[in-house]
Amino acid sequence: MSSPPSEQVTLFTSKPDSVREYLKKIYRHRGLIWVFAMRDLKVKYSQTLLGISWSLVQPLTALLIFTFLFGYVLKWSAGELPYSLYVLSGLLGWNFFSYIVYAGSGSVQESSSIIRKIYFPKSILPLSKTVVALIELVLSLTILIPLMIYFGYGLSWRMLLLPGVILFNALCALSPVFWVAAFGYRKRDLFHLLPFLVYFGIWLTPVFFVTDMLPEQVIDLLAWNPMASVVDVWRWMLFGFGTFQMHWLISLLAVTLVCGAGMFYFHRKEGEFSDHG
Amino acid sequence: MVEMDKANAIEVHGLSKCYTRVGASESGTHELWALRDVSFSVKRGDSVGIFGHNGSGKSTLLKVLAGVTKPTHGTIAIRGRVASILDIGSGFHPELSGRDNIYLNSNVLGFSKRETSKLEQEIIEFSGISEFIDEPVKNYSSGMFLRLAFSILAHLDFDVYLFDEVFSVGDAQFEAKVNKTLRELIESDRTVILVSHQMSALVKQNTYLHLRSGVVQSFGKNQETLVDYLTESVVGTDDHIKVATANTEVKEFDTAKAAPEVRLSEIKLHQPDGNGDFFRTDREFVLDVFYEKLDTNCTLDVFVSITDLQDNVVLFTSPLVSAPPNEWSDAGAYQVQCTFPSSFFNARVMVLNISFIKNAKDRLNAGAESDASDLNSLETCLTVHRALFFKPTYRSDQVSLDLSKFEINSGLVPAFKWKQMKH
Repeated sequence: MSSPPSEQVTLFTSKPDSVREYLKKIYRHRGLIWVFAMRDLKVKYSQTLLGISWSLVQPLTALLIFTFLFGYVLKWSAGELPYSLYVLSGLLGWNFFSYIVYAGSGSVQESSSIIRKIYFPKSILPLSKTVVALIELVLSLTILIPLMIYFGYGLSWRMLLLPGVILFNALCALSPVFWVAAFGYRKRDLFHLLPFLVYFGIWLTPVFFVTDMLPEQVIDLLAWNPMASVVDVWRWMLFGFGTFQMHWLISLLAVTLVCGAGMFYFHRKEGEFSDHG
Repeated sequence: MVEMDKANAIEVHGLSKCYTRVGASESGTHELWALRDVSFSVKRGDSVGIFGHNGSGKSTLLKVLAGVTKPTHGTIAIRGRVASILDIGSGFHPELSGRDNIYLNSNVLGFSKRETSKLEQEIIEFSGISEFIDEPVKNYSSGMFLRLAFSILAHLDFDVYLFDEVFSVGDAQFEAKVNKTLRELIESDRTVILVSHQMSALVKQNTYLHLRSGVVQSFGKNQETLVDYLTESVVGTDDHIKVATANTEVKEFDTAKAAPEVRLSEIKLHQPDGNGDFFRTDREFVLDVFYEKLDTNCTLDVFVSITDLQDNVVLFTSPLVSAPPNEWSDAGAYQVQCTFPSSFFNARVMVLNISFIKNAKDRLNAGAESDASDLNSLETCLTVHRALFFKPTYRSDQVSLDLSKFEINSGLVPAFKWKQMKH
């Protein structure tokens, strides 16, 4: 108890913080994003023998089953791109999305005991889930990279866009999260919609099937699904699969707006989180 | 930067908090005002004890100060780093080890990994659970959990501490550590806000905030407000009970607890040398207990205990302390008188409790012979709790020192024989 008293004044009023003030508070508490993420990872893999390598088991198993079923039995093909790479890259983006959607939406409820005892901007919670998803994404790259080398894919300038692709993917996932979390702390109805989004959404997104297999009219409809764009962008970025589409940028703009509005709504509502169980 | 008086650590202006429950009833929204127009400011280094009945808004106030809950109206400004210990160990995760939780908890409270790692060893040693520090905390006993949680708080350096009744932790040895830490905090330039029902914790603070139904009843350094509150909460609702401040007699007692052997008929407390207007601490007190003995088959002895408002025993006495047991077994009216010396009681509310002991003569005589008896085997036939409340006022002709200014937390301030020598 020796350091001089801090002079920083914190103000609490009945009004919500301005957006600028709120972003400042998030920045001041940014350490927590990492702390909560590390806590989640530690909790998930503590008291296991394999530890973090468990996070490789799931994509690896999925890779083997889907490649066998769709690629070998049903003979689905993605042209020049080996089907195993097609599935793996699709799952990469989809798993990142679904983890954030699930964990992020429930994150406020999960931490309700801390919320009622300690102040921090609640956006920290979904953001920390994004960090967890990101770490698991990096881990699954350790399966993808050797496979890419095996099939003779090398580096390309497009890979410089990796951070942008991840951001696009994360914005897609966080768009529903902020809305569901902000509504769901009181009424849990929206939580019941999440399985639809994740389990059925995968069949409306070219994760397993190849877009070329679809009838013309359906392909146009697919452009309305931002996750379809995300998965395509991943493959374009990694393998040069397909061609750059302008509607990807429109999708990016759309999810940025929806996510931004969601975060704003979440921020307006978060003052009430601790008043309700 | 918010404008705030340099000397103040906390400024609260017009704070109100309303909880609404939508759809709780047919009529729509149900409103509950937990705090109404609360304003006060706390100087840096002060320690504030917040008290009030359950539901008076104490915990809500603490939550709003901690930023956990948003105010409905008003503003709060706090200078410096705030430790909100609304619940000890609230940032703990059961699956993580004690060591991991040290980092998690201190991080949640706003300390970096580097700051924490310097303190890690000290925290573990203070907690006294170093053997188990790498076990998941879900395997800890509640005592171990609290020890670790408190150790973390005690070692992190905050400017403002908000405590919500966290001190009933662990065993006596650890409680002593907790009290020492709290005392050090209060004496330091840190600001402490404490919500408690425990008098012993509250009296250590130098400022008192009394909340009633969400409204500030009193705020200031005067400890009287705390004593008044305690008197009120004990006596308060019952119109029959009055705190006697001058010569008094009580004839009505709780008759529900009647005994076949004895009936308490009257208690008198007076100061023969007093001025009659009020009890003076520097005069003798004479206590008379009148009772009616209804049974001829036993002997009776009187026990008197004086407690404070928390039921802590201030003193216990009986004729048996200095004389042999009563020999009379006839029925009839009896009186027993006790004189308390002058300059003996402190100037605070005292509660008289009277018990009647049956056949002390037989028991104690048997004990002398057979060695089989002790005080525990004495049989109480009637106990009248809270028979009389009284409060002397501090006065002294002898000394110029006004003890009441020192806010001594003791029931007795007796004048003993002192000698001072110079060698």
